[in-house]
Amino acid sequence: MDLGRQESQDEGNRFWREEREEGAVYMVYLKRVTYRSHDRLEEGEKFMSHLMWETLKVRVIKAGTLERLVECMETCQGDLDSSHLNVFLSTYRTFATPEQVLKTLINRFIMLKSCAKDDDRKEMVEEQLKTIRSVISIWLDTHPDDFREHPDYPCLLDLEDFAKEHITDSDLGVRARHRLEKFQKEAKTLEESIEEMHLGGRHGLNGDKIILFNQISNRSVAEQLTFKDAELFRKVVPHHCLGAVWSRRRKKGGKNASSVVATIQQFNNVSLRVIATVLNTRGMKTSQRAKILQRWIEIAQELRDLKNFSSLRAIISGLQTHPVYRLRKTWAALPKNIMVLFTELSEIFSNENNQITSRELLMKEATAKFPDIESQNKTLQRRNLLKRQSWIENGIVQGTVPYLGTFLTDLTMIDTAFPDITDDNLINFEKHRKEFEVIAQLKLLQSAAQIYQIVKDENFWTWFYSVNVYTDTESHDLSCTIEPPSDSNAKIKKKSARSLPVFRSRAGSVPNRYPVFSTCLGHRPVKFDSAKFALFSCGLENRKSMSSIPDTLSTLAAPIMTHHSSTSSVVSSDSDNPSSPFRSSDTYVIRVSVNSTSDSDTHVYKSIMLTNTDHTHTVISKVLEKYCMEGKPEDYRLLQILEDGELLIPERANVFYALNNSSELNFVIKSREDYETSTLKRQKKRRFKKLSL
Amino acid sequence: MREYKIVVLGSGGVGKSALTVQFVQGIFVEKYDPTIEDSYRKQVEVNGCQCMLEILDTAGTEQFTAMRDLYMKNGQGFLLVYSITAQSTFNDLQDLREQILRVKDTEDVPMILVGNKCDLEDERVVGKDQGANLARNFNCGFLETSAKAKVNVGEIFCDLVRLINQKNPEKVPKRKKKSNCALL
Ligand SMILES: Nc1nc2c(ncn2[C@@H]2O[C@H](COP(=O)(O)OP(=O)(O)OP(=O)(O)O)[C@@H](O)[C@H]2O)c(=O)[nH]1
Ligand SMILES: [Mg+2]
Repeated sequence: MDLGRQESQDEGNRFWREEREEGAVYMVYLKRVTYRSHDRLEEGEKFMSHLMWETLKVRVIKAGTLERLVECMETCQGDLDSSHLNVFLSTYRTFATPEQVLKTLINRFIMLKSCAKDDDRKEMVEEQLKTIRSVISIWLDTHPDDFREHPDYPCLLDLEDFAKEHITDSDLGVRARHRLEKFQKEAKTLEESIEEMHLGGRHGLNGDKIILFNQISNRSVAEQLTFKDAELFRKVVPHHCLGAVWSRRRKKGGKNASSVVATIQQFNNVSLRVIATVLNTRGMKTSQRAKILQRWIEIAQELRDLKNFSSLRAIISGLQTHPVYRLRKTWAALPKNIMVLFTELSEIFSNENNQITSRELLMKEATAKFPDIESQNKTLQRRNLLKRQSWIENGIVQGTVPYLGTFLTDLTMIDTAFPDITDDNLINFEKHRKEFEVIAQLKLLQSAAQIYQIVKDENFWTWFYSVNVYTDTESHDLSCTIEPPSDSNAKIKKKSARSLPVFRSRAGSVPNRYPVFSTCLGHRPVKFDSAKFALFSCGLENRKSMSSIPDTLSTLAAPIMTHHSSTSSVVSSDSDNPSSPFRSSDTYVIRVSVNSTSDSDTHVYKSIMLTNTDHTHTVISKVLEKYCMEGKPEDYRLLQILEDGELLIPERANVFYALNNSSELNFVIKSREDYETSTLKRQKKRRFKKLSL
Repeated sequence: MREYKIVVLGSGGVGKSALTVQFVQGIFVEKYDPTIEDSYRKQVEVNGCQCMLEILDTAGTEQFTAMRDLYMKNGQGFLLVYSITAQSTFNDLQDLREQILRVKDTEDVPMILVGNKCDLEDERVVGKDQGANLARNFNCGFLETSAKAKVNVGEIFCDLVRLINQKNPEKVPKRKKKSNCALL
């Protein structure tokens, strides 16, 4: 198959073709390696021949059986392919158990060992055996929890047996044994501590005096929240975030993704406390209530300084829930600069552009020493400058906590867009490679979260858990007693909504998935009506301004999303041509119908993706596949439907360039015979337009 | 014959294409091939009248959602499909509905909430009552379907046609398009 072969001169890796083997599909790239001659400057050397560059073939597995994926941990020279191993270890739990993987590794080891006798392959096999040993060793080191299988620990026992028999010259067996003993010990301590909790726990809350919200400084609140968020974020097990694990298909996801659920719970806990402290103020004056709003906004700013985007977002979301957000008089009582601050902080998470702002900030600041705060407002600018100076002078270095939802969305999107299994029933490893890109970012940030040096303050947490939180109906009722609804209120709300940035929720974005899922909040389990209680989807009355931002922007902002049947591309909308919103410099979406008499009355067209490297036969193959039709591309003709007739796309054309793009991208494929009979008829009637190349 | 523009919406993999193809061609598509945008026509009889349905099967995959505004504008009735086996597909519909109302700029848009894959009772995570509640919330019709077991497939399309009729009782019954300018 030489479909998709290209003759371009691009530097770097260039996709060449797909190769299939029993149980595996590879993508083959051509990589050009340039060799520089050091004595280029010397006269006369110029014409000496030396190797300037050569093209190497690089194979990357796209899909395969478990056995094949495990084999790929060895390169073709037999040594370790660490990037493949990395992706594999980060994602394999969605398609195999640790036990299956270990078995596969062991079987391969034993199989190879029996080949080691042939002399000519001996060296290679030695190398491969070494690789398998390092794989197991790296696995045991970097993902020890995969082996925590209480109470029987089958993997560790198997591993120990295997090491004893086959790898006598290493400590692998001993390490397996140590691991096992350590796990057993930990399990025992855990059981004891649970027992203790049942017996002696829970006295703290009643005995100690609970401090009040206004007895804690803004800075302490921010620090304590950050302490907790950083701890939870560090504990997030990256593979718990995989779409298949945490969200949709594994139903008992809650159990598997406990580390993710814990983060979400804390997020909701914070939002609920913002709501509760603002609403539990019935006897107070508006100005006093405004003070509480102001405090939360100031705390949010502190969190911004601490680069804690998780609680920052939780607070902003809490303030933007309807019951709080509708308190018009309270908001109006805020000093102007606080309002500006709030606006600026909420803009970080505006859903426009697929949260591009918070993403950019996050990646910029993940490894930076302190936050890069900018403001349009004069006084704030000055304050920021002073703050920055003091950080530099005091040598303060901060960690980062991201908003986990961003990663969960990305991973859910990948999970939805790519199938687990390819059509030939192989594990779609391409999908897992994409997932790994996100996981790698997450891991990077986890290391940044370790930088914080904050000490836990029990008093704060006693207060935190003592706050009585409300369900959404309770919140709504409270809010209405504080400021009763009125018609004029509704009008002004609409107006003021414009100055307040609101969360726009777009289909498929986090907001609705994120806080809605948790049902157990604090020590007071509350069941929420997920359709109604969405912390993020408030402020939707501001419809006009939301629709003004085209959704395409969000598509542009998600470059990781690629359709599995097409090459990676960025799509954009062409507003001049509304009938085909997908036209970019290297891809078009085209509509193709099939000219067959049988169901011509029911079917109209199907759309496929056309890239700038697709030749006529590639396109016809795609169409046949889309329609589940058998047949060879050579037996069909591709025609573009134009106003004044049909344009035949020549057999060897690059369709992207051959088509007429000043008209609509509507095509038809016809079988060769149909095409020939129809043209014969037509040629008599009118001139037929044919493209010559 | 009156024409109806119907748009099938919902997250990726919920069975929009399967339902459409089952309705139009009477076959169940086992294979999952993410849609970009497909269109079908089918003539049916609803309440004794012949109707020509133009059905737009849309993309659930995030990458292609940029097209949504456009076909929401053109569509007259909407099927909002989720899969009873995936909670997230259910949650996604809230936003989708908001978007339709926004684009249409009215609260009254004919739509039906569809809980597909009801043959997979063992894998159910979205309860029937949850669906019914959401439909009440949306003030729209609701049916659970199975493209595979052919449950309620025709019903959702025909019910939607009835809803469109209710909203826009036929104004000019015959040859609407061509004689339009001659009428006053
Ligand atoms: N068991 C069962 N499977 C179904 C049903 N409907 C669809 N499926 C399967 O679900 C998968 C996805 O169905 P599609 O109809 O392609 O999904 P879609 O909503 O069109 O997805 P996109 O085009 O990506 O938006 C396919 O493998 C179908 O066979 C159903 O009622 N029951
Ligand atoms: Mg589809």
